[in-house]
Amino acid sequence: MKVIQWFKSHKPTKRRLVQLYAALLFNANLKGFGNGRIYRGNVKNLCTPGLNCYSCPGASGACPLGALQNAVSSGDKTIPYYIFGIILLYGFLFGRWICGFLCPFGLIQDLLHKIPTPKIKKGRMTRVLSYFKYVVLAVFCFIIPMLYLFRNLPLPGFCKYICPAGTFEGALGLLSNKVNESSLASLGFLFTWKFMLMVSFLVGAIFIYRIFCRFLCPLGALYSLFNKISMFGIKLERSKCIDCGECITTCKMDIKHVGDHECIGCGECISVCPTKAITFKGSKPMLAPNEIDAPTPEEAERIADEHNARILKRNKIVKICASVVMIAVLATALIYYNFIDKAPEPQKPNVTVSDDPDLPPAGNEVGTLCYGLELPKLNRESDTFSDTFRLEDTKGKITVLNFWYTSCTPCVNEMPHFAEIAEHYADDVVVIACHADMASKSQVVDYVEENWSSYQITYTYDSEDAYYTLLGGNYSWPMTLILDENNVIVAKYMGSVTYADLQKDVESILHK
Amino acid sequence: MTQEKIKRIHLIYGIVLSVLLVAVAISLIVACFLIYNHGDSPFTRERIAEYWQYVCIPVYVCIAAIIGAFVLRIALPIKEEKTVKGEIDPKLTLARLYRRFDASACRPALLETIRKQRLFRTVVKAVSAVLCVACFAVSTVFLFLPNHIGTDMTTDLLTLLFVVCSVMDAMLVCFAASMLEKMSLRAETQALKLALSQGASLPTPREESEQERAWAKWGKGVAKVFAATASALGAILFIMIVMFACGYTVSDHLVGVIFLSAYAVVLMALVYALYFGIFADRPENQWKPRVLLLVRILILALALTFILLGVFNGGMRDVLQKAIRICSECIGIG
Repeated sequence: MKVIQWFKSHKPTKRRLVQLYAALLFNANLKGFGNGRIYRGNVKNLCTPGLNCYSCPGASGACPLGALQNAVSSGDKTIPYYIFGIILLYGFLFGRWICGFLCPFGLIQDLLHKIPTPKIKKGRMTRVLSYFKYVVLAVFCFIIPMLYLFRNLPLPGFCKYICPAGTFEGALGLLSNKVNESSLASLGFLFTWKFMLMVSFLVGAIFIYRIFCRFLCPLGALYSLFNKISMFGIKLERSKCIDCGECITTCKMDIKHVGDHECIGCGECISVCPTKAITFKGSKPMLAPNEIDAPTPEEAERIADEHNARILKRNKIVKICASVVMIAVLATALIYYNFIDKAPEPQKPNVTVSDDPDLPPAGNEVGTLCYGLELPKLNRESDTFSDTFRLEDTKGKITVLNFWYTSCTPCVNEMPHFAEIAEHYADDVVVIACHADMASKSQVVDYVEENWSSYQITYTYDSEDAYYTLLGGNYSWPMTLILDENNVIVAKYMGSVTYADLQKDVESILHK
Repeated sequence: MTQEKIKRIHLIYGIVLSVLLVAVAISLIVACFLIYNHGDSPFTRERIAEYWQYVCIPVYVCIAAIIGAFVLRIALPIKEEKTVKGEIDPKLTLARLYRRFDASACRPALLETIRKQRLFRTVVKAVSAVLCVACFAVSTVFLFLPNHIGTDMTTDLLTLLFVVCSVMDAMLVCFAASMLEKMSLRAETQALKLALSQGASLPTPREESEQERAWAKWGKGVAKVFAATASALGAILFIMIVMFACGYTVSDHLVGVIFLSAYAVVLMALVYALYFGIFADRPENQWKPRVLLLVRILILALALTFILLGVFNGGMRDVLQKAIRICSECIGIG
């Protein structure tokens, strides 16, 4: 009986149900957790409103913060109207109500805070610390990407150095699957740093309410600018307010007054207001003023006025219709992502396979014979991809096959290592850099001419990422394969490589 | 069992659970560092499994303890659970007291105390603002100096560490300023309360004059929007001067610089206008509904226009291209 009583008094609130619904909707690609792959359909054009890493296997949309940083760091190529428009739209519609109702990472923090331990109260210090998220927004989401923009290196500063959602949802979600085991070898100091941050935030959330949202989240900082004008949120009827301060003392966020930039619209202040001066914005179609739950049967009986009874009946119908629509949307999303939508797979390219019995069978793993590639090659004189590269032409030399793209910072950072290898082992090694289908051929040519015109590297273009997929790429760049003189795969790297790694493999082949 | 005993049991259990949680967190972090210290390609499934053997028992004990905490809550419920409460802003209290304060009837000594506290707060704000600008200036210059822009992780992290330290210095300055301000507000509140109790009190709360109402209605907001725009332009000008001094040319990235500068100006103006300016100081039900509607329509139109422009200029395609590829940096690879 005690257990039943406890569950009755602690049953999930409507807000919790909305949070769970949103978390499931924005991570509807459940099969991604099983097969260790991210969703690659066109629906990822759309951004989820809350913080949800798009490298999470279940993510059904893009992360607005990641998209913003990538847009800022490539702002000289394309003016990022789209992502700015999306953020403006979400801010205008929801403001920080997104944090309270729609953000999956906010839900995780709310659930962790439920663990019964002593809690750290808000105060003057937390109020001051709450402004730190604006600094994080400015430095990590704008200044750092802008800085790297001037160096032609796109860098999402917040995602790379801080975001715990990326580590929790993306890293742990992907790397825990055996399919991505080869990526473990590329983990280093960055992962260690981010793992440490993630553990600190998750444990901190147990003691401090929404530690990440209050002090660090740049997305919350952006949405907070719209709190005053957003369509959804909390509003205060000034004529009814008696300045008792109960709302401020009850609120767990660092608000100064109801509905300010720290308010996440959770609605906990509504029930403590003695004069019922606080309501949800836009609540009229759904609720009677200040009504959070349906009236009890006793209250319903008291409502004798026919007009009010009609409004209540209308509101009940609206609520039922809204619930049915929401359930239908979620069910459709789950069925679509997991059963219907086949993410576009690139066409299998024509490959030549050697029938030499002395060589191992063709494949994409270490020890197998590499498939015969045939790719458009950059002609340095005409500055076009007019020539053709064939893998069989490199037989007799060690081939270093690197898959990269211009807006991939680790790819760009490691290219000098390949140039160094190509220079030091010019007689024995040929380096092939295959650009992904992420930029047009002319953009690739311009980039190469501007940055790497002196490198002795053969540049090719992999349309539709066909060969990248064929050689076992899991949509994480860069990828490097090292082939011996017979084009047998000797080493395969998922992630960045150093000069030492390349030299070690080349030396081992040469001295075999 | 009395409520006091139950609360004590819950408190002790909560403290033990907290210690356990922190210990498990530290052990997980230490295990990760130890794996990292193994040299080249340190993270392998076998090594992770090996270290997991050491940390798994504390983790399982922690999970059991968390479940135990909930069972304890069911078995020994606390009758009245106080919610975590914070303090009311002392500035609101001060504003309420000032509405009843009659300066002419106040003792000179008390009046002097009140004036000194206000002067003290002004000085504290000015000094902290100067120090914060200095921290910002140092970190921006450091960011743009070519020597500090490396191509390897360590140099990047050191640069970041320096920037974060500069920012933390600014935060410490703000924190110290707020502590001093709090002390000063408390002293002023006490002095005001003493003055009011000694007869320096108006019979009815003071009404705002026409001029004060007009200033509260429009003047503050306009002044703050102007200040925000000026400071945004000043920040951009400062950044561009530093860029020139460090040898970067803006002409190569003109479009990006113009766009980002314009966006920074709009953003800062929006910050001030929405939070500090016209809208924040006015309670919602006193806004002219037409003004609110106009602002909302403008922002909605701007958002939809930007989205459409983004669809046609390839911005939406860029978002998709990034979203369908694993961001290796975001998950700690590379």
